[in-house]
Amino acid sequence: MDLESQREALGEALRRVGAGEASALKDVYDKTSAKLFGVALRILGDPTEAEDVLQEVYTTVWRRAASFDAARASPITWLATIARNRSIDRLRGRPARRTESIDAALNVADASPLAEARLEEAQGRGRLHGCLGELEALQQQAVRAAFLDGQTYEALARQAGVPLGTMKSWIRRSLIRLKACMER
Amino acid sequence: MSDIPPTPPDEDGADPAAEYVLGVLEGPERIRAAQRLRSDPAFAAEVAAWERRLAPMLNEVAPVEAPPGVWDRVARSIEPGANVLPFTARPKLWNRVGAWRAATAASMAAAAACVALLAIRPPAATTPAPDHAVLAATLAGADGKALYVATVDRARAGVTIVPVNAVDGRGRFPELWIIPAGGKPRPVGMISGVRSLTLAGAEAKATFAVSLEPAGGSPTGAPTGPVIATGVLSAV
Repeated sequence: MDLESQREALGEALRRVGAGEASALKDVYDKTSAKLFGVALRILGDPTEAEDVLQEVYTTVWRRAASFDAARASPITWLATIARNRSIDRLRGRPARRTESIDAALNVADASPLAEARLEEAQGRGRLHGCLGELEALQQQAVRAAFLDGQTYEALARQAGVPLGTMKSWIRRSLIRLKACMER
Repeated sequence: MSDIPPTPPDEDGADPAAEYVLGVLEGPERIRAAQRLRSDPAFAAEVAAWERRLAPMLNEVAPVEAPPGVWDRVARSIEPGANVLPFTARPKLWNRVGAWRAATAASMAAAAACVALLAIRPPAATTPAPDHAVLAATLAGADGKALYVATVDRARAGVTIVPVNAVDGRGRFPELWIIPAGGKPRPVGMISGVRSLTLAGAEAKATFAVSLEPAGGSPTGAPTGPVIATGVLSAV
């Protein structure tokens, strides 16, 4: 199956989850759990914690799938973003809320990120990598470690052996440059 | 690149949306950003744009097969009575006549008993005239098992709710909520046994939900416990 068909199949499975079909959630799980486990494991570095996050991610998907809009977001990116946010929340010592009220569940649409990711994803991948490549090596490394490993400013500064203020301005400047580069 | 004159979002170049997405914020800063995400649409749009920009990096992460037990935990956590139901999805599903009938048929004997009860115990506030539609909803759990039948009187001022199947409250007590289409849940009342409760208005397509709460009801005015049953009101 090519990438576009895979994306459509996953989007359709998410739509069925949104309609309350538990069997569709299993389908989504089978298609995506290895990727999401990889994302969580990379950030948390602990298989037990990554398993907990994975469970939370799919129960979140069960609740939120109705707010997923295939016209506006790529399904795998939507899922990976939930996995990444949950992992970082856990890493930061702020456990995700296990019970959300009906009220919160009804207002999840505002929490769905990645509008219009679908169209831009393919081009974006090449563009992002090109733009990361334009950063100095140490700064590029810091941006990657922050995003992929969930490192904080303090940890990044420690690893690079620079003062905290220096790391903050490296990252902030890198983000400004990335944005400008990707909008070129 | 270095000749680009950036316009920093604030004087030290901090862009909270970008930093939130990158994940470098900690403690109160991250919490503040997450709260702002919910309350500030412009900020949410910035965050979405940064998610879109940075997401391609996730392609670098290698998939790792998840241990076999995880799916079982997910499956258990979405069972009825667990505290996660696809709440936004339920109205769509349960608004379907077929699903409504199936849920009713699944508990035929209980439903028959409840119809009999309704016949002998009309809502106290008003008695619906036979030529006017009564609004009713079957409130079912995620597995489709009907747990309650709710009937709203013609004046929309009272609701009678009848349990159809036993509910294991696990030390908590069922509370009824009404959720207008697009609105927020309003408490109606606690519903142990057959109850007639007053209701400040109801419309077709409003949703009833039952959550499990501490004795005396939710302390916050919003549901705090697991949602065990939902159903959409329609004319019968």
